[in-house]
Amino acid sequence: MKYSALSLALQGLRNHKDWRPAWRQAKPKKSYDAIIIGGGAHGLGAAFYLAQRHGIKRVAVLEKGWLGGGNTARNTMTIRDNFLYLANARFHRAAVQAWDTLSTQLNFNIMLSKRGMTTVLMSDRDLSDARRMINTTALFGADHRIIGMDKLRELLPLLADSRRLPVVGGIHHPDVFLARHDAVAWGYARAASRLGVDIIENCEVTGILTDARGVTGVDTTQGRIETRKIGMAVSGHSKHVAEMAGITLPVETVPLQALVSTPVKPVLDNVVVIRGFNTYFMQTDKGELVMGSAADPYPSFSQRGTPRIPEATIAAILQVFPVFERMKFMRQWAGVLDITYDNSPIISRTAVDGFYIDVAGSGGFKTTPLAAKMHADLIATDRPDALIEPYSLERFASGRLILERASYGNR
Amino acid sequence: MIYINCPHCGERNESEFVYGGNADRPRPADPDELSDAAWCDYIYTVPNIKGWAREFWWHVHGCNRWITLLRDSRTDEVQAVTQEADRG
Repeated sequence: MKYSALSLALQGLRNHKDWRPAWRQAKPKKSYDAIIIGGGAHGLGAAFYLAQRHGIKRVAVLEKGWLGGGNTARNTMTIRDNFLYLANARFHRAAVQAWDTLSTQLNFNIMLSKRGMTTVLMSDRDLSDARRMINTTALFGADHRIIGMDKLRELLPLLADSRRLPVVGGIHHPDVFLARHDAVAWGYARAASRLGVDIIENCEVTGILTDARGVTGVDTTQGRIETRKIGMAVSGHSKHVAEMAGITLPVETVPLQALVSTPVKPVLDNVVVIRGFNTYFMQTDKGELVMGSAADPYPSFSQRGTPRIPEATIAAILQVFPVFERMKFMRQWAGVLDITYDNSPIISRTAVDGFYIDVAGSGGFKTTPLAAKMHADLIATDRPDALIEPYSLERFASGRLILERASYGNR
Repeated sequence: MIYINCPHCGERNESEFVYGGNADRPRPADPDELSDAAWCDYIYTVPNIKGWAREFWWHVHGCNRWITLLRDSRTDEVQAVTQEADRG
């Protein structure tokens, strides 16, 4: 059923009795043209684009838990492109643009909301750093500008004077969006399912089978499935899944935490970054403040994180927004990032023919539509697009690293 | 919060320490003899063990010594803390 105002009205007349599940629950078939490991937004997206752009419809998405239950459910929904290195700047700029038409394309409202990002600068060092960043990113067409105190107060009326570290200015970056993260996974799942993709939950891959010509299939908790092409999108477990194919990935798994307050009335439209503390926060459509800062200081798969990060995050926010002092903290969680040495993604072929990987590097929600599309193109054609060529796995051996520091998951 | 039982200072919060990497990953004795692939592997490929692993931690806000401990990266449980003399 196509979602529209008309279908909603008609369902209303029938007391909403005829809504069907948004996607089919599938059982694994004996073989597929391509298998995607990982039923998060990146994996579901790759399956959708395989079917939509390449007509490859005998595709299965294998998810060990439930759909969109990993990092897709744990990120902080922010879509931005303030990156410093050419490859990253180009890729993320294109990624931000790819979000624009996604709701229409999927016939599913992902609740894309243009917020803008305002960065609070609290030292001369922040300010000179900001100038360097703005001048660099301007070369790639990103729209950032330095703003004075008047404009900053206009954008963030709740900003207080900080005695200890006075605010000296800000950066405004209009092209920053929020999207409903779960809806992205659901929208892709529904659209892919309608094109014939099998989405198989509770199906953990336990082995990857290969012969001299490349991959031949996977062993799963629901039996053996044959395929000649596998796309892997399992950030948080990339290393261990790739190892099943005999590929060693240069990634380290680190928790990245976020926390959320109880909901309040709308008080904040921008995404706020407090530069000196590497902290950011925003208000969701539901009214909660979502906050986060740097990744945890040591690797872990625990999906919990150390309490010193939330403490520091709250302290940083209260430094310049003491108005939130009496907000109630509701919950905290951690996603697990597969961080590469250079904090940049890996979207690449591997030494095993037919085995392709999409590792977000450090926080991949913002790149979902583009990364999934490029991953699908790579699986279908075996040729990387110019945008993802710099993200090859070989860059670690060749020394062409993209040492990105503008990302929050950096170390 | 992880508690780490420092051999010198007793039980302390993890926030006093700095993680110093996997302890079972010796630096190659003679890097000049190493192939590019092996050197690249040493630099970029961290063990990233899911489970128990021996790790270096530096008690930077305490006795300032390096210690080794066993930590389970699935649960962050810590065991068997010992002093690591080599790292001074």
